[in-house]
Amino acid sequence: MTDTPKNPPQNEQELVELLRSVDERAPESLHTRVQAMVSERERSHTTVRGALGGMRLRLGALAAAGAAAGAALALALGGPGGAGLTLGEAAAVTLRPATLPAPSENHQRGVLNADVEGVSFPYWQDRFHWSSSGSREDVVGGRHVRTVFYSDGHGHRVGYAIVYGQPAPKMPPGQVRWREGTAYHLASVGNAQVVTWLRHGHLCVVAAEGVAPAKLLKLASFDDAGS
Amino acid sequence: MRTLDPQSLPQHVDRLYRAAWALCGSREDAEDLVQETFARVLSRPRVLHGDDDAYYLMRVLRNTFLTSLRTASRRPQTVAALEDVVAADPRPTARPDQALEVQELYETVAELPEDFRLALVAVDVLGLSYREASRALKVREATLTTRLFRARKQIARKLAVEEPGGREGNQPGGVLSGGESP
Repeated sequence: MTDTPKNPPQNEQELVELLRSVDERAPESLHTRVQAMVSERERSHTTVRGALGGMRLRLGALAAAGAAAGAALALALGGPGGAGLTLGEAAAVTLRPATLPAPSENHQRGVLNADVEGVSFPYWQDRFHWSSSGSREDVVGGRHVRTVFYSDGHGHRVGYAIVYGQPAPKMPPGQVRWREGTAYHLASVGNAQVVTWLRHGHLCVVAAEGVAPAKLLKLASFDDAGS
Repeated sequence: MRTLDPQSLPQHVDRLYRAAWALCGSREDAEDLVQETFARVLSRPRVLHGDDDAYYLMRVLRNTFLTSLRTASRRPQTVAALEDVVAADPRPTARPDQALEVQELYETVAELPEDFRLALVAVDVLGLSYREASRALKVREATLTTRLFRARKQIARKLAVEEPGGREGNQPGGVLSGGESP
């Protein structure tokens, strides 16, 4: 809805436009509760799958299937170092709304005035015409995550998250693309495309809906000077 | 056919919340309804036949809403004591005027007969196509179209009638922005 006071709709068409213009957000507490329900469901589902996999192994009848299930479980958990933060949780953060202002550009270094333990968020405006539009801070799976959002002016939004602390949580490998000696892992979570990679030992996650994976990869692998 | 990805659900919270608010007419009830809807969806794996999660979520929202109505009608009515009343979730919005507009708009929607309300919410609030909405509400498309037409007509008439002075007066504090009236 616009900022200007509205006159009541005088006909059905105006009413439809009014109803469709409402963009009221749900309370943050509701978002948090739903996210918690999803995480809880994922955890319990993983546990059940693990238990079933164990039974199969004990029976010894489906050894090959058990190995595949084990691999799938490892992917879901993100490998041995991945406890506490899943790909889904990491991606979900980058798709949520901004709660903090957009960081400004650091003109001297060509990055944004925002970083995680020395790893700066890139400045994409000049090169790609994506400007920072907001940011947020979260604790997900026990890990502190800082996210900066970028907009392209055409309704597309990309979330760029950097996870505090090392070692970085392990993510599923997905499709691997190499750029300048760095492995970028492409995956999809729901309707979102996700790219994960490491910068100076920190897990970085870039995700968006409606943005092509190739474009995301290009943004993610942009060699900013502020790493 | 595909399995619903639980991780995709949080992105639908805002849309579903607006739909629930329009159904219930109250933000607090909408929060409860959305939470109950997601709890139902997450209770077991779900197989979807379409591409859009929203259609399926609308179906569960409708079922949950109807169930809650029936349950409430069977429950003995009690009056809450003052100390039992919990204040609404403080809104992070910087535009309280808009919140008021929306509240009044959705309250008017919530006064519609149940079938009309569901049709309007599915198409105009949630943004489903007629086909998706008719599947979600388990009615024929022609029925949905009729209900939608009547729902829109009723709402437009109510809002227009309630406007103080009519549009000719061009009052900034019309029905949908009543909170700004002096």
